[in-house]
Amino acid sequence: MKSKDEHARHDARKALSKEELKHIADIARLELSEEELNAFSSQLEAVLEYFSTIQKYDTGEGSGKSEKSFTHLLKGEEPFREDTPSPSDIAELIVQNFSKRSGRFAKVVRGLKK
Amino acid sequence: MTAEKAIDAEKLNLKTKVQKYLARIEQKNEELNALLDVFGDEAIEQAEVIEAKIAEGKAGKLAGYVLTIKNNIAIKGKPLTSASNMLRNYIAPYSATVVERLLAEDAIIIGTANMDEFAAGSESSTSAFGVVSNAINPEYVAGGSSGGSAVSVRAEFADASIASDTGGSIRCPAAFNNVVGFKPSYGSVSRYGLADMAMSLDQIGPIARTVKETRELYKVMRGIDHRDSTTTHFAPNDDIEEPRAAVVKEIVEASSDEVKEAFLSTLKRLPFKTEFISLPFAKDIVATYYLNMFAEFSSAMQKYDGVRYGAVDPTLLEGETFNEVAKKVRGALFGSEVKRRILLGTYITMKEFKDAWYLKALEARQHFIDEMDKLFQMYNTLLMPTMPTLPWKKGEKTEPLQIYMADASTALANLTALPAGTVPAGKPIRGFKIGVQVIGPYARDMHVLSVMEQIESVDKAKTI
Repeated sequence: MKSKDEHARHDARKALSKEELKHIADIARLELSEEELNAFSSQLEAVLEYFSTIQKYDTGEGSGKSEKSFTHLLKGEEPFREDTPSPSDIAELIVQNFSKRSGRFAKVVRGLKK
Repeated sequence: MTAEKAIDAEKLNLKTKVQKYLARIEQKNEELNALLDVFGDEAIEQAEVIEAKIAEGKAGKLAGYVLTIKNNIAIKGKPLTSASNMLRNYIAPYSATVVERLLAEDAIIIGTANMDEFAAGSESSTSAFGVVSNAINPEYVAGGSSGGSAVSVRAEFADASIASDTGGSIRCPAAFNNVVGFKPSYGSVSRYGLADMAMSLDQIGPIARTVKETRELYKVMRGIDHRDSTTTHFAPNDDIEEPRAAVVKEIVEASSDEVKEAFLSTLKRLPFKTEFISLPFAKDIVATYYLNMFAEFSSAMQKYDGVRYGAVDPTLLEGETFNEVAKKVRGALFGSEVKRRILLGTYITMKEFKDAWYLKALEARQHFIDEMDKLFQMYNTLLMPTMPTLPWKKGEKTEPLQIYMADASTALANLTALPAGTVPAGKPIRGFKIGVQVIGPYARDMHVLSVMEQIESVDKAKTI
């Protein structure tokens, strides 16, 4: 039976077929050319192959190198601030950066197909 | 005249100093490509205002400083491009907190600095506005991602530059251009107004020609800002102690022979003892850093879809659905390295693969934090070469992985939130000194700067 690590490595390679890469690009909302797909699939495979050393860190309970997984970089109380409304003079500057606008709104195409 | 006295003398004639920098920019920027925008008239105007303030004795702490700002840090009313076609037409609607603080103390901003696109790179070769050249030898890479910042300091376009560091982006180019660079403790400097790359790793810091100037800038930049929640509980410990210094064996051994030799001979000349220690996890720094960063980077890039951040080519905005348009915009306007990182970040956080990749990277990160905590119970200073090699020639490294390996020593401080800086040291090799990196305990930024200053003075004593 394959170990969890072997599975992970196997999955890494499998995911980098051109078809899989297209699927990832779709989720990431990136249109890629045929040329990019070809170049990226070998480059990304090399990166993940090298980075697979990470898989010795055990996220299961007990035998891991660390007692817990990373959640917060800074300890301390929750740093929420008071949410008090105040006037802002930058709304127009923000709106000026929109590609297409209608008054103070950004104009975009519909979310779903008709 | 000492450098210190020279600065004081220049303060008295700030306008001349600004004009001198503008002349240098005019002469050298085309070749080096370090600056994207130059604010010549405004800088001269400001110099006149501040000269008058100096004469009246009313000038701020940074009167006399002329700065460049990395172009991922907002200056109200100026282009904020992050060196990407995606933000080519974006104008910052407000200033970053650091910019406000520097201006309030009478610093002058002379221009914005070129960089790797969205800070994704270690050469400053991925900018949509062209490659930055090394200021010592333009055939070599500038280092990155803050290449324009470090080059602008070394080439004397300004006194100093304000940049960001996510895995070494301040320290790498500072080392490659033989200037001083400092990444403060995470949480000590507000990132409000910084175009984020990876939020749990990003930090803003200074690059300058001396440690003294680096410290003066840092002191103005740091402090609580309610617009960046990471700063609200930062409690600096400004005590300076005798260095109890450890040297990371694995990082020294993984360096090139010439870097190793220059580093070891620098160690011998330090006024304090150093002890070699082993950090077995050091070989996993690159993998852990990149996997953590990819995940956060792909998320940070999601907001760029052609709608809100500067007008994009209207033909790209035609399509049937929002996601179809976003795909087209992002495909056309992001560069290759940004795309690679988005793809990898998306992949390692997908439901099917996150256990095997992202969660492991988080666990490794916590392991590093735990180990550094233990280490700093015995020592207060960690030393290592900033970069594993000297700068390489432009175009020499073609595979992304080769370039990622350059972050093997710097990224440790970002993963663990620690303060870290680099100072040039040793005999120049092909014109380049090495950078020595100092890492200290959390919130002990002033201690790190003091150790950097000791290394700097040993190095100066040798070369003069």
